[in-house]
Amino acid sequence: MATIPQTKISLVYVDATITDSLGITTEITSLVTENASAPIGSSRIKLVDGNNTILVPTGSRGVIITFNELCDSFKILKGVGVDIGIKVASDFLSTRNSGVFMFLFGASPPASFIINSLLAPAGTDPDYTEFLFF
Amino acid sequence: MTITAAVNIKGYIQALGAGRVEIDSIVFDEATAIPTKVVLELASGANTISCSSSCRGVIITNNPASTRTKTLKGVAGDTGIVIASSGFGGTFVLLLDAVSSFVINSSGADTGILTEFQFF
Repeated sequence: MATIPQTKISLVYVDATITDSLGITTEITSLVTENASAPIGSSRIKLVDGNNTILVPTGSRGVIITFNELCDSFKILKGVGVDIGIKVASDFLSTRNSGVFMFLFGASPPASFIINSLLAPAGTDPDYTEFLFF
Repeated sequence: MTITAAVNIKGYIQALGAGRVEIDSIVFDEATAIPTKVVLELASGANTISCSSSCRGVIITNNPASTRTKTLKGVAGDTGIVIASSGFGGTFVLLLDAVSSFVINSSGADTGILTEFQFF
């Protein structure tokens, strides 16, 4: 049987339902982020204590990052190692240690970004953090 | 009423070795934050975005019509990560843990163009 080549493309969007204490619900179905140059890259990394440099495949439009429940460390998203950055996950003592999120790049993706991991005691995260570039 | 926030990332990547990979993330449920929506016309330079109390994350929408380059930072002095540039906007989800504010640096004033922040 002949195979039909598939068009290389990625489509990603956000779907959310948020309800406040008054019962007012906000539905969000975002515009689709499309990338015909999808880099087709994914990686699973056990983060080590300190700055972890995450290489970005050429042509990436964004990345989806998943922290698994067994991840122990605090995590900070940074552009480069010396940044203060933004804390995106807590340690295993909190329910805020896991979750999935994403961010987009501009027209030209960076060569890399940083996830700073803070373990006590210092070591390697017991579970993988997943990065799916699209 | 109970406060709820169910956030899901969906889509697909096509033309991988195994064909199409569907993306349908775990639904991220959080019920601790007071949902708040902030809509801003970003000024040139560092725009400090104050987070709603106890929020677990924010859905950010950069209008693709903007011609400005926007950089996500923890504080103004950071190098940060470029998250939008001329014609390359879009919506994404950022998790936050005990963050009181963050910074979006804009390469110029986004006159008449709004950037949305939905905290959850």
